[in-house]
Amino acid sequence: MREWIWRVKAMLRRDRMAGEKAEELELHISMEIEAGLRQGLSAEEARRRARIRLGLVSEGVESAREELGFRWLDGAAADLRHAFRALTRNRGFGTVAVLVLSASVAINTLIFCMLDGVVLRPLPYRSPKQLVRLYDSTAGAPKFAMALGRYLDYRASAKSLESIALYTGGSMELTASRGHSKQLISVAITPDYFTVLGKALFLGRAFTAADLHAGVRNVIISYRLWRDRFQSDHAIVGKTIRLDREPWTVIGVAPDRLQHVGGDYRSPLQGETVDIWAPLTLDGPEMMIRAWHFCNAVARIRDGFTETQARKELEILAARYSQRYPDFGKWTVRMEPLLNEVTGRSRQVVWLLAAAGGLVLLVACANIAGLCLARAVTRQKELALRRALGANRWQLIRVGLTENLLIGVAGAIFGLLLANAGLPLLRQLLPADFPRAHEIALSGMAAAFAVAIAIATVLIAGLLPLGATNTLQSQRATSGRDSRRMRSVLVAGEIALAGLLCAGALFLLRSYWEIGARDHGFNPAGALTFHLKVPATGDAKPGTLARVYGAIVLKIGQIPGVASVGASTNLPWSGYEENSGFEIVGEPADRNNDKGGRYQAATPGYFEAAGMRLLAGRFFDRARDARGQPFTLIVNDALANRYFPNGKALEAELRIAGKNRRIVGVVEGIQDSPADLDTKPAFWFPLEQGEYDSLFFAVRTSVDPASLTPAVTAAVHGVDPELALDEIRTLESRADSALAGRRFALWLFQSFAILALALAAAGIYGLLAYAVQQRHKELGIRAALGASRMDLSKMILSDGLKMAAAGACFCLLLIPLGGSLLRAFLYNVKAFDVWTIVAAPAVLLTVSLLASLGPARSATRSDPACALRED
Amino acid sequence: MILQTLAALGPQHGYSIAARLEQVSSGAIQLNMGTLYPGLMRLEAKGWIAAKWAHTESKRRARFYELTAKGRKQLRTERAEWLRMAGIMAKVLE
Repeated sequence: MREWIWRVKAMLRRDRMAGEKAEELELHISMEIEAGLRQGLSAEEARRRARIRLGLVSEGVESAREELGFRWLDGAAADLRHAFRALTRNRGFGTVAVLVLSASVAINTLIFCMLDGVVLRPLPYRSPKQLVRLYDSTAGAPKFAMALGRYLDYRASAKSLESIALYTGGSMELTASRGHSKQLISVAITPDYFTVLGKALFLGRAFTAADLHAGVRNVIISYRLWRDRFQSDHAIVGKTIRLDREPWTVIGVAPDRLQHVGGDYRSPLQGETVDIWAPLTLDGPEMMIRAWHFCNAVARIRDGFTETQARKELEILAARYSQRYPDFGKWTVRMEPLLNEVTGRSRQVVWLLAAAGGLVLLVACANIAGLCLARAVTRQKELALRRALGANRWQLIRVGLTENLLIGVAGAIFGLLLANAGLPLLRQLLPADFPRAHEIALSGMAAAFAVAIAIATVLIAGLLPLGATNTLQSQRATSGRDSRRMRSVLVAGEIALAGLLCAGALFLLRSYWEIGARDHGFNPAGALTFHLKVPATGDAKPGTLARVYGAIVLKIGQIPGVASVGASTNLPWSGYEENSGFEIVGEPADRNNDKGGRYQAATPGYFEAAGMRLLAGRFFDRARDARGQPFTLIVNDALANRYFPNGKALEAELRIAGKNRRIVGVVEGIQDSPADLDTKPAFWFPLEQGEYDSLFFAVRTSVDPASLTPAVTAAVHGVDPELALDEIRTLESRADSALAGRRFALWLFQSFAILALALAAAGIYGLLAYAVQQRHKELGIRAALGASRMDLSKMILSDGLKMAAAGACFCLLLIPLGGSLLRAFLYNVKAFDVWTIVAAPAVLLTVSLLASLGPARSATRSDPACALRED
Repeated sequence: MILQTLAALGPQHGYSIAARLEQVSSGAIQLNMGTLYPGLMRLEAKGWIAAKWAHTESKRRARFYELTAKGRKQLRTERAEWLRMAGIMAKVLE
């Protein structure tokens, strides 16, 4: 150990030491000379003898240097210099290898960024692993929103929970000082919301139990809102702001960059998405407290308790609660780690893409290995020479590896630059609702990852050919056949992997087409949509809101170019998930078989505007479904088929929330999301027969829907100038976003497949071109013996196609496996999809054929005379 | 050998070590610089000898090598080992 320290120290000041050594040696020589002089020799003779006896000073210095251990360092420097020179001399090899490497490194780094940001990086809360989401759960609805009563019970009794909070999202209209108001994203919370996350407020205080009563108008605003809208007013706590046309008191400002927990139901996405937190009112009739499930729950497990212990305790509490309140359903509890809930399905997408990226990297590795092999063969003479001059095996390997290392470093640098350039593009491609998209960034970890995979790839690519062919062992300079076979195997492997990626892309593409070709039950084209919330002030009479909405619908209907217009609680594919139970009037209630469906409300004109189809009965109309008329209902075919198998849904009566309502129409159902296989039972109330303050409008137009935006906005403001429209977009773009996740995976998969195909094609081309060059004598002789150009090109083409066929066969074996891995992303496409199984090999063979054409052409130019003249 | 020389004579510079060895071995051992100095560096690296710059009697700057405690110990073990080997060899060859 000490010896090494000494050596390292010596190495660091090696120039000085060399100088000292030289001085020492000079002294030695001069003393020797003096000794000679004392013996009576002439000065000349003494010097001569000293030289003979001692050797040269420079030689001594040299051997001293070696002793110091500089040899290794000098060797490495020399290797680097040599590798650099060799690479600059052979630009083609270096450029291709660096290009291939940096493209695949860039792709994999980007995917790593996603993986890191979405899945690996902990959530930005205190000890995030202790955070869980809680749901009320039954067999039919495994992850259902939590009822207030259960929350109160857990909060009071659960010893394994440090804290628990409820939250439920909405929107609030912030009155602007001038101009129109702005819709803010609001979340109603219980007091422990910030405690659960482990975040202290930036200013003011959090809510207390005293805030959770109807009529309390205290709010906490986000840091961003405080900074942008209230000019970072440090004295804001205690001031009043106007929300939903009523005065609210600011009691706190949330910390900067606080990320909301997120959720699928009644919640903004995870991230800095919330503008305002309001207290969640716990006042209400027992029905509301115990039977209504409309809240998200997040909790922190107490230190010292495991997730399993906490789950067990809550299950016991849930069972006890169900026993105590048998009228409110037999719910149990479901506990999920917060991170899983946040990343949700995109976790699968990211891992899938990571796997695909890994395949691309493998193809690149095989490609570079092929290049290295070709290079090792062409430099066989050089290696033989080096060997003859005394280089050992390790030194020979080192030459190649140093070169690869340089390529690796260059590949990592360019790959990182590429990834950096590609990151904005990736962000654009990401679906808007992709969880934790804001965390995706090029971090130090990602950079380290890029360097690691680049170096690993080139080292494996460099060693693979060495191990397989032993080119170093053979003294002969003719192991061409061996290496060509090895390269053929590599190329066939590349083709197989590229084929697998192609098949994956085809699977996804077919699913996408299938979904596109599906009849979804509504017509997304030619309609404009927007969201509107008419604030319900405390003193408003029942029916006020419906009157405002009715006025707006009328006003928009008068705009030229509008065919139909209506409003509803939700639009197709918007992730709406409000459910209600019901009983069929005239049928005995069956406690073990709860009936239920999506409850929604719509104005007359909504179904027409959304382009939904009527199967039986009628749509809502202004006269018969008005306030005060008999209660009516429109249901979808899923509800009609499930609960009225005899086909007699029309004119039947459902009892919902204590009122009997007659079914007047049956419409074709819409799935919750485009690729869902089944449609959930659903029904619509006439809007006027209830109270709804937050609605989506659909405007079907005979002109370009987006062009009506100003007219529609003006019409709304004509009714009430303070109203704030938001999310103004065409129905088509909404439908599009529902497909964005699939399109994202599809695009990336396609580009991976194309890159892999290009690499495989380059591999075929390179190998065949090389073979033509190597065999030009043979080809020339064949030509001289009468082979036609056709014969020669056939020979080369068949070589290429043989590799392609081998790769395609292997790929065919892998396709069903790939299909089953992709199953979660497929719609109406089987893992054994005939189209894909035919198309993927066809693509492979076509690409291989195209790549072989060049070398085949050059083979036909073989000149017999030229071949004979040589040698 | 170098260690023994240093043990016998105290701090010495390179030339005098070589001269001494040549003298003691009656000219049988002649170290050229390519052998002597790398050897000295090896010993220095192992910490058996220490070196410092000083002036000779003829007032010239030279590097003097000196035995360290560790070196002294090493000398003892090596010497014992060598004598044992030499004894065995002598017996075998008799």
